[in-house]
Amino acid sequence: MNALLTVDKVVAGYGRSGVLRGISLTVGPAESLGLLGPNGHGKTTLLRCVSGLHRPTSGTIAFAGRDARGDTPGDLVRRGLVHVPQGSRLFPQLSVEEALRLAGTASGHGKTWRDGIAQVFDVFPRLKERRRQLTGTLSGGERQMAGLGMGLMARPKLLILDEPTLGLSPKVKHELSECLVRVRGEVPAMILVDGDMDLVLDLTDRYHVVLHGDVVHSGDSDTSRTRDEMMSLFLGGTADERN
Amino acid sequence: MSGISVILMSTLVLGGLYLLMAAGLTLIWSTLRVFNFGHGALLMFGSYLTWSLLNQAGLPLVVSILGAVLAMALIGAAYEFLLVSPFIKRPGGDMTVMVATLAATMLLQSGAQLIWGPEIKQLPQLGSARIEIAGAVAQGTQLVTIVLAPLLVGVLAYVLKRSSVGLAVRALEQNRDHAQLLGIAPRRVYLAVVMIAVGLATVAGALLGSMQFISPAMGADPLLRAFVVLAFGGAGSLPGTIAGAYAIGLLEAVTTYHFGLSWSPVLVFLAMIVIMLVRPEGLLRSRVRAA
Ligand SMILES: Nc1ncnc2c1ncn2[C@@H]1O[C@H](COP(=O)(O)OP(=O)(O)O)[C@@H](O)[C@H]1O
Ligand SMILES: [Mg+2]
Repeated sequence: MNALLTVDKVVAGYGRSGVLRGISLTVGPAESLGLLGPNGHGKTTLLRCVSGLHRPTSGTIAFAGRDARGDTPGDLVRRGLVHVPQGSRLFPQLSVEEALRLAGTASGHGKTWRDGIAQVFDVFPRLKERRRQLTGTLSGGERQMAGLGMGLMARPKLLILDEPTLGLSPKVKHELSECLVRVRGEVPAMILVDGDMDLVLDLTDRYHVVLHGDVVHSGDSDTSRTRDEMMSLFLGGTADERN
Repeated sequence: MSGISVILMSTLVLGGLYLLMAAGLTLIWSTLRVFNFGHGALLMFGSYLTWSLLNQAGLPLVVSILGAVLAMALIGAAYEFLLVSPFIKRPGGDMTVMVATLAATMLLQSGAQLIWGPEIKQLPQLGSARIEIAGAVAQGTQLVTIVLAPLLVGVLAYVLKRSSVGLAVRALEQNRDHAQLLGIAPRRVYLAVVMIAVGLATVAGALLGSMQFISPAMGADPLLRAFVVLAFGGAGSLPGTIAGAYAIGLLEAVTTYHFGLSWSPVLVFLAMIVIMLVRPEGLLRSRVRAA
């Protein structure tokens, strides 16, 4: 197997409450994987384990052929695993440009951050307009763009996006979706988690449905049956959650 | 006339001393979210160490101060390693760390008593430069304090504003998780911050040790004042701290001049309570936020 990322039987939780129950998945070096499923079922927890922010109780995670257990988020970022977290307020007192620069220098691209910023501004012209603005004063959509831009600054081999369209109005969501298509073109591999099922299926090659901390269903994102199947699963999942 | 210039001069001296203490405390507070109760004791230790380098190792005064700053920065690293790192990431760890820094205070004070004994020590004046403005005189260490304190803290503020390291420090203050995801290692930043803060406290210790006497308890008063500065200026903002340090210095100078040394602390604390009632977020906080 030469997957870029391998997650094997990962168990994790917070204190005594278990969240992930032996979840396994892989992402290929040029692949985009979608994670779907209702809120509170462990998608974010899984991503935090992958990027080294959260320690799994058991199981293994390997990135680019190396065991990633014990690696700090910084180690992983410098090896190309980049995680744009869910609902981040970013750095309210840093300007867009400062935040982008920091994302470049902190990920080990201290010499080429200027080129990086130019590239990010090509992908997000809106960020160029807002370059001097503090990230704390950006609109919701702009904040997501800044977060994505910071992710790109690290020149990811694998870019992990957690709920990039969360809380956005339909119009802004549409604009951001177009940005996400461009982002997909910039990175070799990606994991995308989002509540917008259509968006996830459009931007990924395969998907998993995560319920109660495990993969309960998987498929190719482009099969025509997918959406109906998914709808019933989602409804099932939500009903399940209410119990 | 000369009353005003005397007050201003002593504002600049006191404000400078408090600034050196409070800038480090603010830096630690804003990154680690703990109040370092050991800061006064570290100042005291730095003062004694300067004395030893000068009188026992026979080094020149300026070299002694530089040596003490370096040595204390290393002690600061050990301090961070032993008292901060082991606890800070645990739930409720900030409280544990603060208790640990209190314990460190006791330890450093007893240690100083053991090492340097009970007899009173003092450092010589730093230089013999002297200026007189409208009847108020500043000379030697006072003059050095007036210039050096804002200079050092100004450089620190500039570095925090402009450099990559400064960006990393500020990012960690503002969003710890996301900062880590960018590749910033909190432990390294904490270490750097504590070392810088302890270095600044050592400078304050050397200055104070030449204006007053060196004793195991000499750090208590500056620590208290620096705490007031933090409350006053809004903990965690360097511009607020600079303003706060000189505001407290001014208050103290004015009250000492008009009411005498024994009433001054009482009035300073009273003023602080009033200001905190009116502006609980600190003197400059909201303006700095919006900037
Ligand atoms: N920091 C935390 N402390 C305690 N419990 C948490 C924490 N973060 C998430 N959880 C819990 O873990 C479960 C999974 O959450 P999460 O991974 O955020 O799911 P998802 O991303 O799928 O919505 C939820 O029950 C949530 O309440
Ligand atoms: Mg989530």
